Amino acid sequence: MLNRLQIKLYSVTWILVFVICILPLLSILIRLVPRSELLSLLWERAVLKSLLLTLQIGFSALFLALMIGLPVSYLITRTNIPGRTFFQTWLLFPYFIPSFLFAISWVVLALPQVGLLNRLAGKDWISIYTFEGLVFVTCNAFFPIIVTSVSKGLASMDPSLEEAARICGGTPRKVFFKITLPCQIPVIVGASILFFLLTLSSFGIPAILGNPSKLFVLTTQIYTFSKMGGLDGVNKGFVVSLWLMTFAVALTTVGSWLNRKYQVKLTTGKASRPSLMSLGKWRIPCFVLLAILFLLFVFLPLGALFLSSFLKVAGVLQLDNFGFHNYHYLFQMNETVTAFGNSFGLAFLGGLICCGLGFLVSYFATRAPGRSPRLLENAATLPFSMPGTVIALALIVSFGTGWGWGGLSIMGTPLLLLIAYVSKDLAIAVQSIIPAMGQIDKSLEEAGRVSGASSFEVTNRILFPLVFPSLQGVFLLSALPMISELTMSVLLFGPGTETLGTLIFQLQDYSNPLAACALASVVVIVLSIGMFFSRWLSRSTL
Amino acid sequence: MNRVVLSNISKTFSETSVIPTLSLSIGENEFLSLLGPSGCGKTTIIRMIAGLENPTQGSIQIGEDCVFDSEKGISIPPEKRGLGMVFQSYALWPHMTVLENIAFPLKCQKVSPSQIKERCEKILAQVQLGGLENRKPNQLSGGQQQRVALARALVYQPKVLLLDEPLSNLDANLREEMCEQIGQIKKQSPISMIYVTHDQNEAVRLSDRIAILNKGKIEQIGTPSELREKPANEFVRNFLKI
Repeated sequence: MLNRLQIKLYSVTWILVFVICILPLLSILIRLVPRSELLSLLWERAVLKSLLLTLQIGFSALFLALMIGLPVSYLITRTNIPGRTFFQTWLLFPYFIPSFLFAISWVVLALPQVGLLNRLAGKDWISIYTFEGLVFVTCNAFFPIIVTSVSKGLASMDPSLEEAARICGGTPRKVFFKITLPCQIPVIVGASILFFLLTLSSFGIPAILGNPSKLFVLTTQIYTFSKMGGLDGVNKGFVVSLWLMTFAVALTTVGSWLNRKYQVKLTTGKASRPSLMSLGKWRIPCFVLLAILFLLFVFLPLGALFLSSFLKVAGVLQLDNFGFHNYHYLFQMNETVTAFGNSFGLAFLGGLICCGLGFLVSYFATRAPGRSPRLLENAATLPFSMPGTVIALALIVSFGTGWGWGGLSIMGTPLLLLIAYVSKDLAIAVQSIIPAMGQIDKSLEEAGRVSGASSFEVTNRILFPLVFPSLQGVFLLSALPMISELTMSVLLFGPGTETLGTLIFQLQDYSNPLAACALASVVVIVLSIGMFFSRWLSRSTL
Repeated sequence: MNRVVLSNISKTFSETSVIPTLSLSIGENEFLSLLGPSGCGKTTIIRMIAGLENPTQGSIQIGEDCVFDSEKGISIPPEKRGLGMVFQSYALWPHMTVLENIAFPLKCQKVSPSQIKERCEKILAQVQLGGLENRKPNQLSGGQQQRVALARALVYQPKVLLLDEPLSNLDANLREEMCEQIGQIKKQSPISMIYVTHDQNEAVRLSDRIAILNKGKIEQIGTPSELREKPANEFVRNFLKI
């Protein structure tokens, strides 16, 4: 039962969620219906070609990521490999770095002729501007998704399932293939869907690596349309974004259906940890493999990024070529200061709003009666699975010049970016706060009511203080991705609203790739500090 | 021959001694209960017999075979010890049907398909699960899951059956029923059973002998009536509430 104040708040929450998360996506559909002649564009050659390329990249990168990710997950959770905790932390590090930074570092490393790897080898042997390059970098940036989910699944699997199979006469190999692996299939499929969604939505990597060699995927195709062709181009962009929307919706639907159908309870309350398998003579070779993986996916790209940020001339590793030249250049530009101000300001505000709105959504989703709260939760988390490009277009359609509802235009203002960031990251907040609230027994609140506190006082003095520790983590989790957001910003920013993401992208694409490395290095350092801080927080609140 | 002999076993987990030194022997076709408060090391003992943990010191013999000896460096893996085990959580494989769960150990032993079918049918009838072959474990009640776990542990006729608090997740009525069932099995098949529990009623009803454990030490071992009539010390007296 909700009282009057709660009903008012519930309505406000619904309105906000509707405007931020649902209205923009609806607008795309509403605007397109009267112009159905545009739909023939869906089957145009160029569009189909980029659709095909998007799928090819997605599947190839997924295949590669599974080939690498599955053994890695097993090795770092279930075996006595040396340096287990080191790998557990550092192989997952790329997860926290915006994906387009990997494109920038691999350009530094494997640019035809002048890339560091080509220079060092003394011959032109690899080029990153190829289909293979795109697949490799996509895998580099997103494979931690597979490793995080699968190692979590392996670690939480009830060890007695495997022990029972051993006692029944199964050899370790048989137990792995007949019990361990099949039990993890739902987890693996879920992680693969998420991975595929990420590659589908990815903009930075294909923009930086694909455009020079005319490899256009859906997101970069939309970008090109909407940047070049005025109103007509934006229209084309909408149509192409329908492909992205369709895939995103289809994949998330399949994902949640599978999740509901196959989520078998694999864990027990008993705190027994799976025993670690002894690798025997394979211990050192496995260690070497993981070390190579670490070098290739973490050390090499990040090292190249930092190294080039100090170079005057790209690719020349001589002592007199090093200096702080790029950093000087960077901080003399007005745009840099503006971008820092915008990105940090927006991330701070966006994080706060995500916490506040996320708290309200979670509160009503767990406490309001009927079916509407479930709907509210779904509405608030819908944009998360939508590619950023689609959301940005949807916002242009809803709030942009010449489009906006009732002539309202906030195009080119920070407010539009703020709405974009909040709509994308609200899901992160909601999905962390709901479980936190679920852990708080209702009787705690009921006891407050019985002791004479009003429902407002109960929320304010019992529920909120109990949830507060997890809100700190939620703030960082939702704000950190905003600091370096690129996909949406690149379509929504205007003069004066540059962000760190768009500035790095512009520097890389047009004017000064080495300065892009310098700015990217700063961003990596800021994000790493944020990440370790959030880990420390979550450890101390547990 | 299905005697189990533990000689001078000790177990330390990262410098904490769980079992100081312990010797224990389970006779042929005997039903022995390990009874004690939680954390007394009883589960560790049957996990060592099963080969899921290795003792720090000592040796274990099952039948004629030495399956573990710290001095000789012998440690036979669990799949070669010829045991059956029922877990507290039942540990039914969620991706397999009831029939597949029960057939797994036979497939591991490379039994012929026709034999597998025959033996599965027989054991399913014995635990009264006929007709549920094609269900998945999550479509079964707690009691039914328990029976599947029992059937799976018995289908390959192991020499020794280990039961780790098999009834603790069942409600009182079902527990009664399962107790009966385990008693039946004891009568029908030539098998030694080691039964871990903290419930003295179960232990008294089923066991030939009971070992009362406290902090990894055997306080007293004897038939149920011996324990009741001559409790060796204060701990046994308190634990059995005599």
